[in-house]
Amino acid sequence: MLSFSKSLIAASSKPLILGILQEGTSYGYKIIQRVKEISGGKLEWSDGMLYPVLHRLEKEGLVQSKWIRSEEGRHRKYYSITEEGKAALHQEHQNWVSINQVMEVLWNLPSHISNA
Amino acid sequence: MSLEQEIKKWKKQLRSQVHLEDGVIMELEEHLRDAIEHKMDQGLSGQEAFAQSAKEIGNLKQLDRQEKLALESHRNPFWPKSGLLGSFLKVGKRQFRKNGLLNVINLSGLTVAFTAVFFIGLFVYDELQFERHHPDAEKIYRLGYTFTGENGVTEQRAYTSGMWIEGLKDNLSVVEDDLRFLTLSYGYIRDKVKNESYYEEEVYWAEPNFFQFFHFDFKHGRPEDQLNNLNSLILTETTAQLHFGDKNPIGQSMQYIRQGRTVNFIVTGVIFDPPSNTQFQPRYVAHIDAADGIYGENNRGWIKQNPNPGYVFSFLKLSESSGQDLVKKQLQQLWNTTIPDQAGFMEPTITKLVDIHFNPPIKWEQDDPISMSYLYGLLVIGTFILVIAMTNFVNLTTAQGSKRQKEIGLRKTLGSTRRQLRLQFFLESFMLTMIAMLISLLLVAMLLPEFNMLVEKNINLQRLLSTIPVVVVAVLGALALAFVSGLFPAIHFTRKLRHHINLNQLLKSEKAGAMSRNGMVVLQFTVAIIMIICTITVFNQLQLINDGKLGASQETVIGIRTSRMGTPIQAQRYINQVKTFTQVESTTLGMHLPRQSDFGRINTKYYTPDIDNEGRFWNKFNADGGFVQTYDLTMLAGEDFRDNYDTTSYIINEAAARDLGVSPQEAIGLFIKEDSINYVFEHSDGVIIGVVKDFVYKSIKERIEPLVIAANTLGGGVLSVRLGEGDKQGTINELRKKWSEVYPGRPFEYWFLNKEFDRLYNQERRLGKLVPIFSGLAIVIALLGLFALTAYVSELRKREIGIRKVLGCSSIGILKLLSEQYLKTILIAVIIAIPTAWLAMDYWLNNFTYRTNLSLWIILGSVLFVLILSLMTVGVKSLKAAHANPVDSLKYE
Repeated sequence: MLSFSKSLIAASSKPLILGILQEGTSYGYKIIQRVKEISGGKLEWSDGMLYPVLHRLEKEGLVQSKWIRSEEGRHRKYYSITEEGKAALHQEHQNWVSINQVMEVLWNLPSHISNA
Repeated sequence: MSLEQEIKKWKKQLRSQVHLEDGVIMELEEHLRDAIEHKMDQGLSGQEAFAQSAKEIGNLKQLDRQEKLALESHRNPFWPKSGLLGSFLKVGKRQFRKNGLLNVINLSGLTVAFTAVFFIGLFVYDELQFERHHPDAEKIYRLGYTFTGENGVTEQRAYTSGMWIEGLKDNLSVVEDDLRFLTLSYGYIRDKVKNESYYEEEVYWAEPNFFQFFHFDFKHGRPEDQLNNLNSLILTETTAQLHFGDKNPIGQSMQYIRQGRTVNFIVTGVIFDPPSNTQFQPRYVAHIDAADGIYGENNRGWIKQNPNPGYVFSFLKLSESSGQDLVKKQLQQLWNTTIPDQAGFMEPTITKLVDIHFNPPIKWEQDDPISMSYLYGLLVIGTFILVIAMTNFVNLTTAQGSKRQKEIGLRKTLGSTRRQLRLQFFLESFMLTMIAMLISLLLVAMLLPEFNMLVEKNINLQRLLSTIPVVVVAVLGALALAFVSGLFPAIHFTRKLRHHINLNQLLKSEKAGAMSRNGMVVLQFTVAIIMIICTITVFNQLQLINDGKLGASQETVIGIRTSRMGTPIQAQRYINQVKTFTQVESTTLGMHLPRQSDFGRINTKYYTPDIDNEGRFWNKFNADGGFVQTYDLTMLAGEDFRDNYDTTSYIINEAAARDLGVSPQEAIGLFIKEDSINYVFEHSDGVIIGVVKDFVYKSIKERIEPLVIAANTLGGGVLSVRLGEGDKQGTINELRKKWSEVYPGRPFEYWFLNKEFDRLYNQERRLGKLVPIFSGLAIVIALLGLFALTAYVSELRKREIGIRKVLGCSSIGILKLLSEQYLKTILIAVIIAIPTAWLAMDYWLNNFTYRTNLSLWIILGSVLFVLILSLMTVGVKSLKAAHANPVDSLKYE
């Protein structure tokens, strides 16, 4: 399995979560499941780490939350993306695309390939 | 172990290891349950699912650290933890609800006080800003002179000759700019569109730089385009509305007519009505040279060439105040050559524009000055109100202290620091004060139009709010007040924290608290009693002024201006017609009453050779024979004039008889010789046929001086008409109709005599309206405070009262117990208040020649009033406490 550096995971967590919430309102466990699903298991977080990130995004006003009582009497905290969150996600998207483009140039250099 | 137990254990572990908020723990628990469910669905056993899920959540310590980082990145380091602040607010809100009545009283007392103080502040500020809105207001000076008459009396006069400022600007470099304007009596404005005439004295015939020298806001037209032509006329918003309604009057033509001579105008601009805090209140402004035509062809240039002082106002802009002496010297030189016979009696005066409003009144000035002592008085009242309301606030807030001791103790036990507690109490009071402040601001904005009407001002809130210093001072003041009101309770509550080691000390400090509360009640009631005594005295004095005007029944006397409206024959024709009206009781044609300044001729001596050879300076009033009846005067001796023009007879007043040293009866038959050095009207000698009781014919601030009344209408241009009972307005309309028949095209101008006298006491009258309102408010706030305090104390002593009742104390006994303490407190206030109020009022009444009595009854009455009101206030609550069933207050323990 691929292992990502901590800093890379930290950097990607924000666009990842915002991206997932852009798909629709969701709660903690479901968000984790979705991360696993789209990364095909490549991106492994410890589940707990999701919450500090969510809470920070909430403080920054990028997401908002609401406790909702389900029919079985369970309480779940649902998160949804705000307008600012959408703008931030757009910005993140651009950043990642740019970095990717830069990297693309590097990866396509022939010497690298021959060295590898 | 069951799954549920596992989860519980995990949660307990979570709580013990890390300091996460409840919400986060709950969220994590839900996550765990979701994960377990999911895994069990996939076929894992409960135990396995739990183990895996818990593992997946990961390192809890790390989670805790991350949470803290996430939260801290957004915390204001100057503010307490958000949870704590929220808790302060929550406790504050609960506290407010718990002591509902107390807090409503607290809040409304503060609100009323702030509103009153805001209004007082507005009033005083508006007065202090008098003339400050003109450019270079500090550099503007008014020219005038003092004149010392033969009788040795020196008086200051505000007017000049139009010639005096000629050349000052050219000869003295210190004079930056000059301006003169004049006003005229007896002229009227003719509205050609409406075909109506309006008597008008407030036309300013001004030099073209008028609108550059003084500041006026223009509604139509630009200041620089005005007075460029001799026929230029500027209206105010009010006069424009009067003549042309809502349409723009620029280009319309108007006429000014005086004694048969006409000036034609084209309207070139409209100014907004001037603010109330300027002495310059023109209704029309025209070119000074246009007034030349009014004096006739032979007198062209007279206004600017006549060296004798006339009704021209002269203003100078000086680059430095030391220039005043140069100007005075120059003027004195000018007088020595142009008016040498008068120059010896005259002294130039120069008054700073911004000082005029606060200087003592002088003759013929445009301003209606106010004494600074009135403004100080208002500020004192404002301070009193604030003191009463703030002590109320502190009193009521700290009174809750003993109830809140438990809360304080609990909070301390749970780890609150002193600072946090202090902050909490501070914030509670601060917020309450701010709420009161905001409500009162709204009230001020809502009530301002009424206030303006009451005090005859036009304070504009919008203009005020755009004045940055005012806003800054107001905001700082509000914050300071809120701060102080927050600080006291905060210190009060937390100071006690150290001491409460045992019950004894607790009781002692409670006693001290009650002592200081009683001290504050003393303060409040001292202030309230002083204010009641002052209000009644001020009211009595105004009443005295009111009644003293001219007998009691002058509400039914109107004056109609006939002077220079037509020929004497027309006047006589009109009077004859008026006398036939059944609604008219009597008429008299004479001079205008009251006299604001000069009365009769200046420097006229009267000799009574039957008594001695001395000449006495007396006032003289000409009127036809109906005077005594129309003005409802009381004859002390002798009789009224035999007919309208009884030219060989005089009536004198009591003061004149006193001056002669004879009784009214002895004065009858004495011969009077009038010595006239410079007589203009007439010269006549006669016999005293009657003596009237002294009546007020000038301002009551001055002593009633000796007066000679002659049955002669020379110089008299006012027809006074005493109306009978019934429809006054209807009669006036009839008088107007008759007027337009006799004087076609001439304005019918009338006024009620009492209104005319009111003008002499404008400032007193305005303050007379404010003082009772504000002192009433102060008393209400003080009583509210007392009510709340009693309510609170009886609540506090509920159990004590219950026990006393069970042990056999009667309801009366309880009532006595509860009210005794306040009675004592209020008595102390009475002892302090009486001498203070006495001294203050004695000082104020010294302003008046005729002063009301500071009777003991007023003082006793005021004290009794306060005592009864406060006993009733205390009684209502105490009675309830006394009548309560002791079972109710005792059973809950």
